[in-house]
Amino acid sequence: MSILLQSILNGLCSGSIYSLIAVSLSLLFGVMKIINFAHGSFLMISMFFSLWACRYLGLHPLVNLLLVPPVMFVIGYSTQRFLIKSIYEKESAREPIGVLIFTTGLWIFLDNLFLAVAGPDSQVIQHEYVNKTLILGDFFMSYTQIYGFSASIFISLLFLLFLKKAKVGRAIRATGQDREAASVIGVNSYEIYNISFGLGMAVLGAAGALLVPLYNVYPQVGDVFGLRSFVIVVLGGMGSVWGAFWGGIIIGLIESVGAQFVPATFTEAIIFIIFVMVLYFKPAGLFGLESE
Amino acid sequence: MKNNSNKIMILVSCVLACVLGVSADSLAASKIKIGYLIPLSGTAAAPIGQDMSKGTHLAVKHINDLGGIKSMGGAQLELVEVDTHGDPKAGMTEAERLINVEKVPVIIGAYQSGVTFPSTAVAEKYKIPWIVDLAAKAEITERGFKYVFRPVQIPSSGNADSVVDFVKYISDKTGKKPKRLAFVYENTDWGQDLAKTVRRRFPKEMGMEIVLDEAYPPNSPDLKPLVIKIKGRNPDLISVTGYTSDAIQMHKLFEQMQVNAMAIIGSAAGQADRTFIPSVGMKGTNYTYTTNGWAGYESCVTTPFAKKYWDDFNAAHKYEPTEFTVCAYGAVWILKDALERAQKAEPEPIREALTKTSIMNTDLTKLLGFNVKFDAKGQNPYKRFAMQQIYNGKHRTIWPEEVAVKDFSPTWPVPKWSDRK
Repeated sequence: MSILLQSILNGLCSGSIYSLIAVSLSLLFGVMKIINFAHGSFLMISMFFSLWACRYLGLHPLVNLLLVPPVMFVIGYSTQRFLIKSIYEKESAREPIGVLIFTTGLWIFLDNLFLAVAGPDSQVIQHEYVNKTLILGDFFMSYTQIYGFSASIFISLLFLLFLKKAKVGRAIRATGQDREAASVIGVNSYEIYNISFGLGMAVLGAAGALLVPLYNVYPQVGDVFGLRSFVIVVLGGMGSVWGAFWGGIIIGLIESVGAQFVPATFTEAIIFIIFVMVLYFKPAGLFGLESE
Repeated sequence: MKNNSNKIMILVSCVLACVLGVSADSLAASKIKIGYLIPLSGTAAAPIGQDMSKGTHLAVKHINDLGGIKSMGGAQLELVEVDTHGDPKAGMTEAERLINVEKVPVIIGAYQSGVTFPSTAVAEKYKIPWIVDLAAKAEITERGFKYVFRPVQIPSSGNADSVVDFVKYISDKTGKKPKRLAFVYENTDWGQDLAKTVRRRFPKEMGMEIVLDEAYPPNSPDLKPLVIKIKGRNPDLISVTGYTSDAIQMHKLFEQMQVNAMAIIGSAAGQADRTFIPSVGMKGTNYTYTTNGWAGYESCVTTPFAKKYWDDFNAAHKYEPTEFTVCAYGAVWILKDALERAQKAEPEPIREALTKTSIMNTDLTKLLGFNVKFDAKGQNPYKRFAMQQIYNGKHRTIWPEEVAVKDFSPTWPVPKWSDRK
């Protein structure tokens, strides 16, 4: 019984971080209709930033939550403004295939850039916070997971609230729903794209900062979480930020609880069986809108 | 007239030079060409290939400096090195070229199983002996070939054999026998290969009960569910087969979740990696057992022969030798031993000499950590993996006894997490 409870809690904790990664991916898709294949690489970058901040500035891993997202915002904003925008403008009349290819190139470039800069080894942060564990009887939770869960939920809710209430948030949603109509009422859609990309990367930066005490960092680490976040986004409903949030929690739970009943290798299979079933019976995703 | 005599002088000196040149050549020791196939570029395996190449070149240099092959009048070894790019097809054509164009009587190579497996078939066809340096694929010596020899490597199942043999040894020695076995392994050919041996031997030979037998996908985003599962089965012995990234994750979780077992044993990959201890930390790695393909400096660099190898390598390349460079270095010395007895640089006598190889308790075997001879398949039955226990940030070799370090005795069973400081 305690094993089941333990695995449920673990699933919630891991799932909440998956949610954060997926939420940012879903935002980019929802607003700009582009699939960001470099998403995992940006996660890897934010993980390296967190690692370096801890190692060279001696910061507490949780302080990264305040530090890394603003840096990632600037990187995201600039990527959209200076790299993607011109491709996007040329393709505004059709599906942005060029952007898709561009982000794929960016993915390969960034992974190899960090291979050259940081080397191929797995790295971890050394901090006493990392190994602290809450022990209640035969029940173990690391503080990194507890804080990771709390922070992920808080950031996700804050972000959803922002999209719903704030003026910029509403402009983002408006652009996502109908770019031309939004332009008509005075929304500068390219500026909204810049901000959206920046915000997406900021949320991803928070995920990276929370992940670093839990997972080792190496140049290809983005692939581990990147693929998973695509599955989550499709499962939750393409472009639905709320759907991505729940998708992450569900995948985390399947992975953790499922592994107690079937071999760990098969939980991957279970995830993809559910994935295929959702695509078949509800192509818009569990929380996606049926319209369009 | 002056002009003429000049011409004559030039002519004379030319003739003299030719004569002297020829005679100098015939006076100098003859050369023995050795074909060497190794990936040096264009593959992820290239860094290890380059390491091995450095070991091989150093061995050739040392042998030549010490007077070459004495039974052939001090003949010097000459390495004909070819880059395979890790490509099986390149390996096969280059083997063909080495044999037919370069006329080498013997080949060493080609590190990777994927290249070594098909290329050795080419050498077998032309009846040219081949010394396999590091390829571990079992089938390389299972084809009934007469010209393939594997002195410094065993199939990967041998890695798991060492785990079982060690657990038997230490259980007998301490009288504390584990009963419940959990083994987890990455879901690849390599992981499955090792698991097969563990699954077969532990229950049969030690009467152990398997409480968990589980493959996991390599590079998992979350290994905690697996560790929760291991903990829930309450095993006495945990065998972990995985590469660095997963091993680091898993051992950090063992510490956090306080998974207590009599021992946790790794398989010469993740837990033997140089980044393992700094990543997991001193407390988390203390008492961890792992196999290792080479027993290490403390155990093996004990003779002037080994010291010379270690120092010269270090001086030339500014980093310490590894298991790979030691194996490469040793392979050439094993060939040297055979050449001395063959007395002719021709394929048949070399093959004949290799089959009769018996290098027991010499400087070379002390460096390698095992004796060398070949069974009917061309496999060295003495090669095995050493067992190490990590203590205070160092891998200490504890088994087999002949390579164990003197000032350290293993802790078995390991203390509970709550009892460690």
